[in-house]
Amino acid sequence: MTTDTGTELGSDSFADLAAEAHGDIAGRSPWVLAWRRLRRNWVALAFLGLFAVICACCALAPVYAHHVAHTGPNDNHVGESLVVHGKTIPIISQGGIKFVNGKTVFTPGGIPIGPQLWRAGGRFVLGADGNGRDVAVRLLYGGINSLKVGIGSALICTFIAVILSLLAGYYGGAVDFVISRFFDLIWAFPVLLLAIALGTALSINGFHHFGITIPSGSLWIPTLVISYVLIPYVGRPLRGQLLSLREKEFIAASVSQGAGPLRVMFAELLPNVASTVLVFFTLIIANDILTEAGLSFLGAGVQPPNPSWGTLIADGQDRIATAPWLAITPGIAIVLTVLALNVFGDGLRDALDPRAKVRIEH
Amino acid sequence: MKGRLISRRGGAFAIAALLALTIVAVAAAATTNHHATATKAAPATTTAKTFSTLRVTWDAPDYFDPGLAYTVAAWQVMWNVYAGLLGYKHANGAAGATLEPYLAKSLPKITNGGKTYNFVLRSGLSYSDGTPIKASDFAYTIERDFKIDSPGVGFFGAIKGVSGPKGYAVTKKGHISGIKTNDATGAITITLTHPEADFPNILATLFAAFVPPTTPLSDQSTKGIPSDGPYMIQSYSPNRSFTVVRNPKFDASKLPNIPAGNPDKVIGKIIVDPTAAMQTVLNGSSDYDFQPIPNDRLPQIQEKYSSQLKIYTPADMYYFFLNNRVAPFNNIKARQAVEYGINRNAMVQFFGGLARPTQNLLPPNYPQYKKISKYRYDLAKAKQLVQQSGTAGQAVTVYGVNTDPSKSVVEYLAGQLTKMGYKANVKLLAHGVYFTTIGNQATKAQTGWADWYQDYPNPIDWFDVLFNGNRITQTHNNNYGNTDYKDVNKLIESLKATPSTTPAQNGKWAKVDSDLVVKYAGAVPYINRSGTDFFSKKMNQSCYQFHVLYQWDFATSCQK
Amino acid sequence: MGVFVIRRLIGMVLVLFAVSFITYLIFIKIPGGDPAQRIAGKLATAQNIADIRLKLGLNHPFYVQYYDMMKQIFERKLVSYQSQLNVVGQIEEGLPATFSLAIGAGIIWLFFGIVVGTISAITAGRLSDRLITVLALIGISMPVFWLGIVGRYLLAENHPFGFLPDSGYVPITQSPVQWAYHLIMPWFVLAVLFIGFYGRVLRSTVLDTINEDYVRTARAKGISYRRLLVRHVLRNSLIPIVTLFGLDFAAVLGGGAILTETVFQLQGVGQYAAMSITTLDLPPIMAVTIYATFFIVVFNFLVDLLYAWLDPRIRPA
Repeated sequence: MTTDTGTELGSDSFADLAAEAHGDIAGRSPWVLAWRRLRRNWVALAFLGLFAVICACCALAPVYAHHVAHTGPNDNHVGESLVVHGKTIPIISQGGIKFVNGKTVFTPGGIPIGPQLWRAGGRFVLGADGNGRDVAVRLLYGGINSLKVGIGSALICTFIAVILSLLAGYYGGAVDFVISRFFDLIWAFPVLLLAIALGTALSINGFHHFGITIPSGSLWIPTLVISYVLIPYVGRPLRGQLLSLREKEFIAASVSQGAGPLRVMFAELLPNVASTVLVFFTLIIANDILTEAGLSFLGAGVQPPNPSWGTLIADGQDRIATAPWLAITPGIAIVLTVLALNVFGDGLRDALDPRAKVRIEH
Repeated sequence: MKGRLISRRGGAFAIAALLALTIVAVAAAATTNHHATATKAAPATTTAKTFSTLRVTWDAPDYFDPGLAYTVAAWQVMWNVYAGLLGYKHANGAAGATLEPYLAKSLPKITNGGKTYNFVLRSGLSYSDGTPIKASDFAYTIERDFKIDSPGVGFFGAIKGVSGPKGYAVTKKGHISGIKTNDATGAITITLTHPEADFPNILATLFAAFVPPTTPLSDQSTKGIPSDGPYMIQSYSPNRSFTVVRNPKFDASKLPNIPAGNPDKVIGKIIVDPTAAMQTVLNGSSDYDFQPIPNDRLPQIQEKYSSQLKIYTPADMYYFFLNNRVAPFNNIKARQAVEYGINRNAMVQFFGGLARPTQNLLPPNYPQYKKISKYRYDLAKAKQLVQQSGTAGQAVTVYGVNTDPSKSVVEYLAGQLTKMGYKANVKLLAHGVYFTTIGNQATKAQTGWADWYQDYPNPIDWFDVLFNGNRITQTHNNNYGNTDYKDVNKLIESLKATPSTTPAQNGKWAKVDSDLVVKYAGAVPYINRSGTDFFSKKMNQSCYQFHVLYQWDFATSCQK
Repeated sequence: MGVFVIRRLIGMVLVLFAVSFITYLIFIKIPGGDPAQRIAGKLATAQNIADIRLKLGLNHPFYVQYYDMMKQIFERKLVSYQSQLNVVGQIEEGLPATFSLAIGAGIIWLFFGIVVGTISAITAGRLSDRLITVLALIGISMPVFWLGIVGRYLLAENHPFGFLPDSGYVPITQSPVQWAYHLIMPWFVLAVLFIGFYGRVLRSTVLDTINEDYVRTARAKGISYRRLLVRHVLRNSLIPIVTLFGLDFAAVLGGGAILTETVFQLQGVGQYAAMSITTLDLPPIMAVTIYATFFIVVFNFLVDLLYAWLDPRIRPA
């Protein structure tokens, strides 16, 4: 996001930067320069702040639940009532079937109470769901789970992808062949189908192989599934970049100086792709949150009754006509979070590589 | 001109006459065609109520083969298409549970202490393709059921020659020795190894509906089987559509207990999504919606279209099973705690209000029903009972199906169990694997979701199948709670043998119900669920007939 | 070149085999998933179940069952455990909906993606660019199924302002007008995500290309702005877009638009796939996986060929 002094068809931010810094960019490390550029991008920083605020709110979920809403995320209030401005309203509308004079009289019921905002003193601020649970509380707790799965899977995915592509990039040859085929095989699967398949199969009885036991309701299952299916997403472009780096002279120089594989990989290759990895990481978190939402929506991700933004949308989908807030609020939460990450990731990429050579490619 | 017989003019006349005769002959041959697809409909009883086309939106049936079908979607169509020796009265309410002779001349003569059933087939009947209906077709039908691995073979286990290591169920060779037929006299004699009070009901199921002896030994849903009822299935495209037309060979005078039907043709569209199904009636492309109206739209439909909406209550029961063999529910106090710990009135709301709370295992439409009112919602008492039982703090997993309403109901139970003092969590499974999972002893499911819709209107179908301790099996068990109380088992077994429904007998069934729920707290029933029939403005509601087993009867419907 | 093609074809077959086998292994050991019990029904006898097991060949070792299943798929004989319907037939019935969705949405997102990306790049830094970027970012931040649900709620028949049909698919042979009418919302909901993404990718590749030396040279030589844009800049910038589109389009054709199809009840292949997986119905899962993977590997191959043709520097290795 540079200034408006660009020419008709382009802009050169190096020149701009140099102009502004009065030529003071010479001799600075690329990281410092990147930080400077990022600092000036107040939009990206604002959205980073938004993301931080969202994380903080979710982390404070237990506080909200205890002090404001006075209920937990899985506490049902079926059959109970709420007093609002002196009126007693059932939390879930009471309907039923009666036989009057031989005729069947039916009253529809089961509609949860809508957003009360502050009318009920902090309870049911965003209304109740079909089981009489507080939506605002579930939204925050759901955020914890969604963020855990999103960030966790991004960390694992990036870590594994970096290791694998470093190995492929350094050794080349047979190692590269095997790793590339591994990437290709995962990538050949329709991504969402594979994730759903693994998620469904593993969430039935958990994972009990190779000495590791993961119970079926654990958050590790969606986390591992999502990180696994997206390894090639990060791994393939990284490998491409590393392969071209490999040909450069500084690698040959390092090797001729007697540097071992680990040293070359971590001291020479990795720093050169670090900016790519960093940008990928940020954008992958966004992608993972969206994937988790989709998986949970289909029932193959976070398992009920644990809330996550995806399961909340699934719960609300069947009540869209009578209780639209159930499906709309978690969606807004997802949009804000993912948008924040995307804007910040954009800004990060612009700061690290103003010529925008870093690209997410398939 | 007199004189020569064959003159030029006479020759032409003769050829014309020959031609006319040929045409008449061909026409005559065409109307007695051999295929299931008729080109002419039989003259229907022309009352003022008949009408030409009924368009329905239906759920996907599993099969349209009477030997294989086991869903309401299939049966509700097929009971007007295929007929057996016995059948149900086409009447509203409790009267519909009455058994009547369909293809048989009269109700059976039961001799030999309830072990021998004697029927005589009505004469002069034929299938829709013209094949005459013979007594031996009954034997063929039952034997075919075994050969195609019908889900109904369990019903016929009492017939002599079926069970046992060399029985027909295993060998599928030869004939079932317990079925003897005589095509000349039309006599059909069925011998059982022990008396079974519900055997007449079993003979009225569609598994025992006659099919011609040429019917192949595989699923014929899409190819069609010649029918013996007032209608026949002209075409069936799975998951898409089906068409039902009148059976040209159906003789209403010979089969007085089966109504000839009002619609000449039924065009069925199969739409699985309930919202889309509802739309077909709203936009006028269909006259009837089989699917339940989604809870979300009930208020709107109830408000705007209440005259087109019919609420019906089939014979069903929704309950939580409590595994008597596994902690904590092997302890009676823990089981009683659950009975007190759920708010049945509030649970009605999980079904959109389309339900009524119950504490009985038998649905209220049964003459053997006697209302149980022991358990008022009392969470404090439930907590107390849990404490007394010594099982407080134990982990309990509640099993359920991963779609609503099961999902919400099971989460509710887990929440209540937690309030009562357990550490409860939920495990949701796909519908296709749910019942096989909880029916497997190895799963050790402590509690979970269960429901039951009657197969036929007899308490044996409820208590014997679901709660008889003698019928517990290792896998595909239907007694999910493993309820095994000696006195209750004995009572059920004795009631199974006597095929009469005296008030004394009804009282005994009521005692079984009460013992299971009150004395032993063996299971936790909570609601009887109702459904919706949604009609277009064209349909005349005064003809609406709801059958206890087969639900809305399309044959007796009429239009304005 | 011929060697390359043959090697890739062999590779494709191997991948299809590997993917189908892995899918099979994932589902083979689901507890409670005994298909014989599912088919036999609640009141089945033990004999019944044993007979069905025999008929379905469930007593054979897993690799024999795998081979049988694959054979039945290609012979169009495979039957589902859940509904006893012919699996390949079900997929064929879902094809019109999936293809309609893919082609329509594909045209929309490709067109708007290019337009949006080009405008954004040309006016880089100015208001239109920032606005488009913001909208594009919001577009790619929305869960597609949520957008579909909200869209149905706000725009479909049951809402006071609703003017679009609620859900469902009308075959084009039945009524072209209804067909398009029912697909408008699904098309746009699916396209929103891609428009945003493609717009941004195009923006950065165009900006990249603009800064290349040969463009400056051409400009210096006096080539007109428009000609420069179309002939030189766009042509090179579209290469990554073309490859992306090939792969994304293949994914949607192969039933990858699972969420969109499910939310709008289009009954396409994607929805069939999701339903089969969540009901643990192995035969359709296998068939759909092969169907979807087929499209992915074929389009992957085509895209590589196209890429090689467009960019002479890249030659098949």
